[in-house]
Amino acid sequence: MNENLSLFDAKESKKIERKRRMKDFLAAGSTYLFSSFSLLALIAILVFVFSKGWNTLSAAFIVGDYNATLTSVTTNQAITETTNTFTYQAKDGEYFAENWGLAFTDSTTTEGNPIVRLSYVDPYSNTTSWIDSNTGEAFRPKVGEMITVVTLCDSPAENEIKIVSGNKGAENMAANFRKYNFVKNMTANVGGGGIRGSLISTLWMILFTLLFALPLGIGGAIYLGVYAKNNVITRTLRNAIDMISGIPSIIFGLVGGIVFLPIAAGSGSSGNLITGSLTMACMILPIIIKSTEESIRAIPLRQSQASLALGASQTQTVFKIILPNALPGILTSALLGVGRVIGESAALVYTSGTAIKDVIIPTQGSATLAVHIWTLMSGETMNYGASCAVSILILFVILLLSLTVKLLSLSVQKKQKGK
Amino acid sequence: MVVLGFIIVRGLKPFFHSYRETLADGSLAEGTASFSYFWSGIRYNNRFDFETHHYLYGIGHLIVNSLILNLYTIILAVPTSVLTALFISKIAPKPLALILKSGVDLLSAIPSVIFGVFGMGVIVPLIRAWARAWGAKSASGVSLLSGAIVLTLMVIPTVISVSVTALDGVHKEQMEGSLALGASRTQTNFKICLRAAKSGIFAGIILGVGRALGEATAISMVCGSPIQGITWNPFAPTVTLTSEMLLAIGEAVPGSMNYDIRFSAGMVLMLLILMTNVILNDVKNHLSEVNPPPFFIARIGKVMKKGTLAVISSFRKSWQKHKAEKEKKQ
Repeated sequence: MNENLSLFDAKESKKIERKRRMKDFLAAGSTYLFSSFSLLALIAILVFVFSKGWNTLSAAFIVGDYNATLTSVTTNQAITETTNTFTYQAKDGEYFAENWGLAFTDSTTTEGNPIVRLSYVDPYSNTTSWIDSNTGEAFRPKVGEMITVVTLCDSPAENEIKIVSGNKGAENMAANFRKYNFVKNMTANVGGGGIRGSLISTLWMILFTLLFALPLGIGGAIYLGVYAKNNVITRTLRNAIDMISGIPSIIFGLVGGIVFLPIAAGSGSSGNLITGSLTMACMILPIIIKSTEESIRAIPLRQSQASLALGASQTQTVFKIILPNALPGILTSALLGVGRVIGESAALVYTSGTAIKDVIIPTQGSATLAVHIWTLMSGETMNYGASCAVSILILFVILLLSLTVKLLSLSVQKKQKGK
Repeated sequence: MVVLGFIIVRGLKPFFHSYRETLADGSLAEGTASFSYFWSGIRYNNRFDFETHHYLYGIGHLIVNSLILNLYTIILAVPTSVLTALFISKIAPKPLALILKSGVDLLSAIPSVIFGVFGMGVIVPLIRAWARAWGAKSASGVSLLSGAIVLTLMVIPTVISVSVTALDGVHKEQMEGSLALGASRTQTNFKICLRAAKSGIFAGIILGVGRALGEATAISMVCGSPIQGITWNPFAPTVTLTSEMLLAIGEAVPGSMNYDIRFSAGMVLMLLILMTNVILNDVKNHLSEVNPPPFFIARIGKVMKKGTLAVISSFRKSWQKHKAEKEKKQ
């Protein structure tokens, strides 16, 4: 009887053991599964952004104007000789006009509309007589230029004309160029789609934001770290600073729109770079205050006491001993703030406008890089190539910044350990 | 506080200030925004009511949609981030945990516009394909679900990092005690560590919800822009408070009704975030403490009760004094 019972127990316990193992395996497996999810998401974002944007990213893209310049081209003489001395090698998707020495390809504008681009211009192409009708200077077509519309005919005296629009495709364009020997009028789009303006306005924004936020932040941190006593006011202040860092950016945008717009830009305006950077300064103030205060507190007390004992006043101690020693913290906070400014969009939509501009004046509204992406994506047609290319830039800078911050904090830790 | 005051003043302006505007059909409108329709209406930019001279802007559906979107986000984000935090803190070998941790840090550094672009380029087509496979109707993939997924990606770094800190703080003796009692490693992790770090994890979730409620740019990209209505359908497009505030801001003229009503919506958003935080904090306190403080509403009720009682008693006292003086005089 006794034996039987123990046998039964062993069986049962084995069963329970197996069941528990199974459960454990599933539970542990679920943690593996879910934690791979966040890593996968990160990789997916990086892969997507790079695969879409890498081709668009080029020097011309970075330094180019956003708005294309329209050029009207006209000629005064038709092609006289059609000598085939062109050194053109046929490519897929390109259509060559043998009489002109030009090749065309299908493309899209920055807004995503179909357009024909010049994909090849022969060194001996019959375009020597082309002139810019506005300036009267010679117009030499270049690869990459977009042809909006062109009026073609056989000779200058001919009345029968053919108007070819750039959105009808490259094949049609090349066929018509082949047929006719005289360009009566042509509208070409040069450049466009570049981000130089947004880049510069981002730099302005960073500069102004740091200019506004650093003195205020460092001052606040010195007060909280050195002078403030632990009383109700200080505690309320700390709570308020904590609360500010939890406020979403769109609310900052609204506040900036309410408070700073009437002061710095006048009512009725949709903001400029200065109002935008004032708003951003409010957003990064908590970061700067906290990080700087932490580094002030990390300074050994004996250092400032030694300074005081040597006869320096409290103010002298603050500016000559405490601030230089807190420099890594200040630098860290400034870098974090820069990262925030580069990535911010919702607040700036309200306070610095959404218009993408080429000529940047700080007292006028213009989009930063993040707002540039937002404007590109919120239009009728989305431009993934350009927005992903801008994203690559932003990601690169932000990764660089966070890496620098990590290295800085590591070096500070080492220093403290050394002491 | 000053900022809050500014928002309230500006947010209330559309209900008191009279706006003169030319409508799309050419007729001239002049009046204030309707306060009752503002809360109850389910169509954002409805019309101008010529009988009562009110602009009818409704945000009732926006509030509910924001909450629904957050509910979906919480459902997706909480298991993901808590399990990931557990993995990083307790299960993973050190190098793997380091990689994951820096990955999560990187994820939190990515600005929200890029999440929006990613959502448009990857998640929205995926949802579209999924909806087609299931035979569900979807507006080319811009939907509640895509918004929730993008929000999840944005929220999990916050929740994970706070939860990891909480899990790292679990006492070793507690875990060793569990192990000594014969519980397996996994049982200890799930039944002891998670329970011990409960309040920290909840704090992370509160932070994450705050971030999710305030997120605007990415949501306005991936959630679509239906004109009206509340939706529970994950494949249907939805519009939230924040995305409505950003919608067509480029065309809104500063100083017009269309521009100023956004500030009212912002005020409501702040109230919403505050209230959600308060409620979640209460829930957290109730879950984590043995003798939890009473719920916020109960606290408010108590304070109000105390206050009214005090006022009543002071009135009664002064009345009695008055009476006594009167009697003395007589």
